[in-house]
Amino acid sequence: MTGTQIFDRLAGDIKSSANRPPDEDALARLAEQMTAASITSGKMLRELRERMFPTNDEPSALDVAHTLRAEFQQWVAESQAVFERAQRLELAGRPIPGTRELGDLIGMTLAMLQVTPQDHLRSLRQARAGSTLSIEELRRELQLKRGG
Amino acid sequence: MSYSLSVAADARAALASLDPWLQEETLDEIEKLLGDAAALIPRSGSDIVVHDFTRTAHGRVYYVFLTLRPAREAAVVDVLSLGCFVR
Repeated sequence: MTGTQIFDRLAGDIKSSANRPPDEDALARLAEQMTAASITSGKMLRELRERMFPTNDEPSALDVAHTLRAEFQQWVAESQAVFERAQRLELAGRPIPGTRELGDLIGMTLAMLQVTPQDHLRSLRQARAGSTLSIEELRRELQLKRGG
Repeated sequence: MSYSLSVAADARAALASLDPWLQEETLDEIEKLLGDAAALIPRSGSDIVVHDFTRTAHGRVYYVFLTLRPAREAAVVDVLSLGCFVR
């Protein structure tokens, strides 16, 4: 429940209300509350991020990782819907506090979701098998790759 | 404390796929983490450190996410994975 359905209904009402004064203030207040609620739930999930990257393939740890990943995916889908509506109001000249913060939370979450629990477990095995280098050696290695 | 890095093959490939300027920004960010002992302390119940940062360039916002595993006794930090999203 994000409030986007009632937002869309109210927004539709405003468009078609030739005889009634449009309640744009109510719409802006709703968008502000929806944005704040999405930020709060996104921050709550972020507190648990490490659990999406278990250190072994124990079934219970993997189950938590997959469940958390699904929660993040659902949060992104719902928050994206909220963000788009808040952005629409901003473009129409009604600033909605928190819109930028919500956009950043969504962006950071989408970057994190690029890495699956399986990717992570594979990387653990790769890191254990690899040799070490300094940050400067890594920098030179990447520069050489770009140059050559 | 001076750390060495062990970079997983997937993280290396993801790093190499970034635009050169963002590769440098990511290396700077990792270097900053290596110099910040507090940032390398995993939360309880995990030995993984997650970190993300944002850069704005060319009218776009770049979000970069990293997972690291510090091994203090060996003075090594494993760079495990990297994700990037551009808006």
